[in-house]
Amino acid sequence: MAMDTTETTADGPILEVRDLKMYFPIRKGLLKRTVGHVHAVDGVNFTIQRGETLGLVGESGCGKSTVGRLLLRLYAPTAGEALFEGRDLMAMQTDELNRARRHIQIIFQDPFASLNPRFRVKELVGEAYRLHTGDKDWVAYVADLLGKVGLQADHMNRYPHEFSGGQRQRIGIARALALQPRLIIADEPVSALDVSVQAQVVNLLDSLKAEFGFSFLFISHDLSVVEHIADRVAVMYLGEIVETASDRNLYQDPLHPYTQALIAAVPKAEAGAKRRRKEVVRGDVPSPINPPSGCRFHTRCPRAFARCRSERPRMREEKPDHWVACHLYDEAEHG
Amino acid sequence: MAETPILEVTGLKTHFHTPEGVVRAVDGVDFTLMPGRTLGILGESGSGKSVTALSVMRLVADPPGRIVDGRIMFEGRDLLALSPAEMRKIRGGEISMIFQEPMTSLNPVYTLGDQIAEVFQIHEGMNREQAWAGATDMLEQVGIPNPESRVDDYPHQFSGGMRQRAMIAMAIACRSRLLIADEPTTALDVTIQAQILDLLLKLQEDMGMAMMLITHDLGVIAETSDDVVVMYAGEVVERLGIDTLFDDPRHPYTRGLLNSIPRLGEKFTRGKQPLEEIPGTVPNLIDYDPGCPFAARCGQAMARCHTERPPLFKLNPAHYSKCWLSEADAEGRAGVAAAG
Repeated sequence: MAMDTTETTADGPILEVRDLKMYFPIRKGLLKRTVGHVHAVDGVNFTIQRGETLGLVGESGCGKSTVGRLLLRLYAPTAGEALFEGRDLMAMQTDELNRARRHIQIIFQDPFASLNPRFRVKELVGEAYRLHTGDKDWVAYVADLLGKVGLQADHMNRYPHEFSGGQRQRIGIARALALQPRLIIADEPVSALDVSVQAQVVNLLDSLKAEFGFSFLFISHDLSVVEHIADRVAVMYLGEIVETASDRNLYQDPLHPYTQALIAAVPKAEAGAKRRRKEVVRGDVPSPINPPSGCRFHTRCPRAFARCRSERPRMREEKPDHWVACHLYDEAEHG
Repeated sequence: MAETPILEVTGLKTHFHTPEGVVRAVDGVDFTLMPGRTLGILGESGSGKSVTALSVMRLVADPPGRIVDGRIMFEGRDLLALSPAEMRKIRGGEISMIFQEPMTSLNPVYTLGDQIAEVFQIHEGMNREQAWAGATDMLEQVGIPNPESRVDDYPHQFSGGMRQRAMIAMAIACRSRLLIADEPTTALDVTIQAQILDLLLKLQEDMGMAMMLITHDLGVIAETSDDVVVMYAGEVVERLGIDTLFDDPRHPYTRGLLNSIPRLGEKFTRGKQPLEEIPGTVPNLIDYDPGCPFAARCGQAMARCHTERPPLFKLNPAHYSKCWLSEADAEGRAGVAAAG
């Protein structure tokens, strides 16, 4: 595989996101005046180390997909930085951005919607590689890549509709891998697949990561899949990250009441689950148009107190490399 | 248990006639549901679980679909022999159903009050005022805050979870004895899913209704069901109690499903291991294969599995498996009667 792998910056995290914000305007009326904003992402910070898999979990509407799309500059951010190997993706001009983008690829949830039905697999997977490298042997390269994602070389002359959902997701993965990116963003990559096919794709992503060594942002609502695949996990709620820790610490010792509620709510596939009635967090997720004051979870939090309603909690390192934004831990510190 | 079942389905076959051929969506389904219990129907997309439910409700569109064989006994009455008018009385009265996406089953141009009150007016002959009071009452029972004012709202003014609560209110308004829930929480977030499952179990306890819960999610099955039917490619491949499902499943497909899902905590107790894969994909239901429909994906398939369809073997009165591997342990076959 003749790939140009120059211009790597050796040390430091591959990605550092600082205070990233994305407010979508809500326009109304004849003049399309802005009457408010959806606070989709509201001051998000996280870091992905080289070779690491960061799981970004949260429920629908929490802003996790918007974060993924912002990193590819599919939206223009309202504010904030995203340092990719030290350079701010959010501030790049078109040329520089295009050069950076070959190192960052995305896999989408719906393999039916993200593959152009009029292209053959050969073009879908190989086009970007051919354009970026000018490799005359690009067809052989595609054939090799299809083998790595569990498809056959002769699949390359077929169209997306000829494949099952699981196979289409493999095509999407091959496309993402084609330029040997240094960071892959996967947005709910197994959520649209049947249960019996999910395991195939999860295992494939795991083994490809071991082989290619990319860094990985895995966005999902499925806590069990994230636990399986991630090294570190960040939990989002209403546009904010409320807790970040290593996979083990986050799942075995969750600190934020929202993380605790989320983990408790996952239905457990084991005998006796019906007899164990569990506590259920109440209420609905509030609207991101007018998010609650103070801590955004206070309207549903079983442990909320006065300060939670008025003051936004700051992220603090409560335990070594275990960060949480919750006033319960301020209290502990101030006695 | 000398009780009579509330629902007994035998030999059900529902086929769809399409230009590409006959789709055997449901092709030999047998199960029994006892009063007050929950039967979970587990299957992936295309397994026939939803068509089974629609067949019980006699809501399969004809054409292209048709129930070609089988019997559906509800409290001793053969539903397939009822006239359309008799069936309409049962639907929404004695058997009711909720769906995955409440927005497609609620009428967007009527208020929720209108839609719930209509159930009372049709099935209980209430006047408008009584029916409205009843609707408000139902919304309160399913945990909708401020029911007196929300009853005037339209479906789009509700969140996804609240809409599903409203659907449940409509479904249980007539205290139906059987509730069929088709993927009732699949479109919902995990914290809202927990609320809805909790609500269904509480209502079931209060009202003593039987429930048939259709899902692809083993966790949802574990938290709601007493008995389980596992479906694959239009057939019941295994029938068993909930504890047996996790302790002693016999069909290779059931075992494969159980091993293919990651479980919370497992990674830290056993170390990270690859998930067990079921190779291949769900078969299409047009090309009829004489053998076991799972044979092509089954790690334990024998020569016989590719040529001869296994019957549903009875391992004990509460456990059936449609697999040749179960033949040696079987006491008999379902349908052919244990005596046969």
